[in-house]
Amino acid sequence: MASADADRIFRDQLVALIPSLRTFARGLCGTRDLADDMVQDAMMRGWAARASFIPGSNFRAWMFMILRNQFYTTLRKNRRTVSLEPEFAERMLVESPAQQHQIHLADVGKALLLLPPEQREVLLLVGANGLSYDEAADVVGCAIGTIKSRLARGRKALAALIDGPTGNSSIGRAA
Amino acid sequence: MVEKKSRKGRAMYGSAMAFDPVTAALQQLHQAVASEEVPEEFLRILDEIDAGIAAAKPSTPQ
Repeated sequence: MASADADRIFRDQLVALIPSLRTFARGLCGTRDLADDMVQDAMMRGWAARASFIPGSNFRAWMFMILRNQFYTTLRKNRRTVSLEPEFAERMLVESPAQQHQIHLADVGKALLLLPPEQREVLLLVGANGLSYDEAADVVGCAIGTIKSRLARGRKALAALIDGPTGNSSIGRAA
Repeated sequence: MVEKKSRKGRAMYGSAMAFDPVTAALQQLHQAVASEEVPEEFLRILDEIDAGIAAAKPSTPQ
């Protein structure tokens, strides 16, 4: 049985992970409200299942796995494509550190939604949230080699989608 | 040109890595969400969790 101390540690880890979980969910489904609903469900599921979490094991991978399952359950129920919220898209204008190129994150969000979910999730786990290949493999439930190949294909596809048919942006050439 | 200094995925995050617009864009995606205020619904969930912790008896030797 989990003690109050263990619960507090669990709770603090959960709080620290909220931004990453929200990023993952938002990137997977494209809408803020649906993503936040999924994250909240995942948090509640994680909390309810905290006794099954082994202290010292990878909490981040464990929670991402719960959220991922939540996403695919929701996807099966809804079976509909969602689009990126304009409000979110408008705020996501960034400049590269070198300030040589401007990349609209709205384009990145939209392009992500065009990728197969198995590539999208790996890009979000490793590229956006900084998980290692090992962690991503744990979350997705596949071999590390599969993660690497999906990441490579996803990066290439994402760059191509952002570049467009003319390929006049620098993003594709860098990948 | 993209450097391949590490086989770890985490290397995509590393500052030692050559600038890669795809990775930078994905990281900015994370930062954009992380910079948002946490919605009220999340705080309610945490309140429920806190209430559950407070209600739980501390582990004391019998």
